[in-house]
Amino acid sequence: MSTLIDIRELSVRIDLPGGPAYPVRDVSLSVAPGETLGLVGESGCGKTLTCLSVVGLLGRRVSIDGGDISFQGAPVDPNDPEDRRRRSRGMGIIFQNPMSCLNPVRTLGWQAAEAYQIRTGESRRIARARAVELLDLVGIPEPRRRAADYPHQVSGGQQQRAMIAMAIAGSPALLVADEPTTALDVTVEAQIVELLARLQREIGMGILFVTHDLGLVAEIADRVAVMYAGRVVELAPAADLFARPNHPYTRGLLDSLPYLDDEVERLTPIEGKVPPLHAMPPGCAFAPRCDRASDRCRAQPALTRQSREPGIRDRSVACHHTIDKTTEAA
Amino acid sequence: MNLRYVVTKLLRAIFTLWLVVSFVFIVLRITGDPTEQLLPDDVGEQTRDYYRTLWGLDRPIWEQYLLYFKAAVQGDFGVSFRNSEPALDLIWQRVPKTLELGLATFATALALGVPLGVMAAVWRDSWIDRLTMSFAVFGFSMPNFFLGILLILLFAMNLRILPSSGYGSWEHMVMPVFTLATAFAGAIARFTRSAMLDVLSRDYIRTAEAEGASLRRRVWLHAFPNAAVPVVTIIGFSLGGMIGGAVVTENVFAWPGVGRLLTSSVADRDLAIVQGIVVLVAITMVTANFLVDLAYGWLDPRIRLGPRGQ
Repeated sequence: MSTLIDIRELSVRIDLPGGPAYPVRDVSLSVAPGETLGLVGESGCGKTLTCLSVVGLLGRRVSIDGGDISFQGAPVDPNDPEDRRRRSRGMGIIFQNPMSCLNPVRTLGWQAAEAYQIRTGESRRIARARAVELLDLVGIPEPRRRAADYPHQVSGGQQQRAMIAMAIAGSPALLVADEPTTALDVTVEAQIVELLARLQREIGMGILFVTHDLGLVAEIADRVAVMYAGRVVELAPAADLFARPNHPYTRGLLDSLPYLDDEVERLTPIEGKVPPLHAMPPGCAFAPRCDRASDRCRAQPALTRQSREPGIRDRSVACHHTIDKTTEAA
Repeated sequence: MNLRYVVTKLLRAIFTLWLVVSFVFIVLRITGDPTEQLLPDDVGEQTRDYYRTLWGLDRPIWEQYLLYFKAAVQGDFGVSFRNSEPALDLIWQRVPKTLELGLATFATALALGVPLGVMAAVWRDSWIDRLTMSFAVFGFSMPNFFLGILLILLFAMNLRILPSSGYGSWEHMVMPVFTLATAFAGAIARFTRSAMLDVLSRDYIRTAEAEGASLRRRVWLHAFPNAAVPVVTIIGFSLGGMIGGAVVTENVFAWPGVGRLLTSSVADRDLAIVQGIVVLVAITMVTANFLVDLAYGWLDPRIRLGPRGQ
């Protein structure tokens, strides 16, 4: 299977006043063309930093500490401006809060045209015309008139549509969507998810879809990676993951979801909380909250292992005591 | 442009002017009998009564106010007692010279302050940032009269390359403009820097970076238009300080502008002139603030347009 983006053992480092911290550790992920990879986890588990590493937008004091990222078969080099250009042409990104991500003093049309112009190198005039088409494509009504609107004049849903128009201008191969619907109403969320699915079919782009909402991921993702405290703990095709979670954390997440058909309300929260960045346990980060944890878990983190289950490929888990015994370490 | 916004600001400007003109009237009345201030000490009581009647000081206070206000609106601030010319004419002769100095200062300060502030923000903590901030602190901690004298000592007395004072050629302008512009440019640079630092850390700048917008594009097309509002605000505020500075600087360099006229008129107790200049300065300030308010609307669509459907 050809891959669009391939992340190998990525670690991200933040230089804090009290010494460096590693909010992303040994993360390996890949997205194929036309595929949607869902990346789920609690707030602060490193999802966003993983995205920003992919598009090359780590800020001050944040850097890639180890691992490789390759995009369309070629390794990326964060320090090379030419590479920065290659990535910005091939990738689009949308963020959680469209209001703060759109420039308040520029019209929606101006911003979409600029994105198109930079990615394609077309003239301003062509880009202007294309901007209106893009706003139409993402389902903004009366795109010609809305192109002259400023971000504060349209609703949050329309703002996110405009962000998507900017992200897909010039048809990038990869769309990174970092919690794109978290700030929106539930009804708008459904529309945006449907829009992304339609655009994916039309443009054929791969999507890295980050969310903390498991229900949403079930709807949109082909494969799902579950992150906990900076590591990917389980990676599996969406249907398999929901049918048979293999990592205790994944199962905990699923058990904490409400189901409409339940006769009795029985939400099972995961007890405890995520260990802070500066006090990561030496072993598995989930061990303090895990009912299956043993001394071994507390001593050393489990390595990621491919599933040995017959008939199931592309499934991996990092746990000493997996739920499914066929993947348990010998 | 949102008409209601403009009208509101215009009404506020007119209201402020009315307050200032009225304030001048009140100050003039409570500082004592104008005839004592405007007439020589040795005139008789008969003459004073004559002028009291002539100036309407024997009428009720509200009638005096209306007469004064009517005259002020028509630009009549009385006559200079030094040479009996209308005060407004005397002031008006000086205005172009002060305007010349003011505009040159304004242009210099903007041309220095804005790029320095932007560069300091973009390359934060670099040598250019430290140099700019040192210049800014120097600029507004150095009193105008002192900087002016230092410049005269250096360029006129020691190096002998610039005239020490007076008006006439561009060489005469160099030192007064530099003296006035240093403080102004320092303030602009500092505010531009902090406004740019704030804007450059916003999410929409990250969006532009993700699209692949170059640094120059991000700074000038994305960040600067957003930082312009606080910068324009400080320019408006600094104008008052600049007028004060102009009075001092014109005196240091013997520049024949409104500032020098003001100091000599105060020394001579030529109240008609002082009154006229106070109102003129007030008009300048109010107009500047009105223009700043209009600039907000022009720069920020959120002020200009407001949310849809409201």
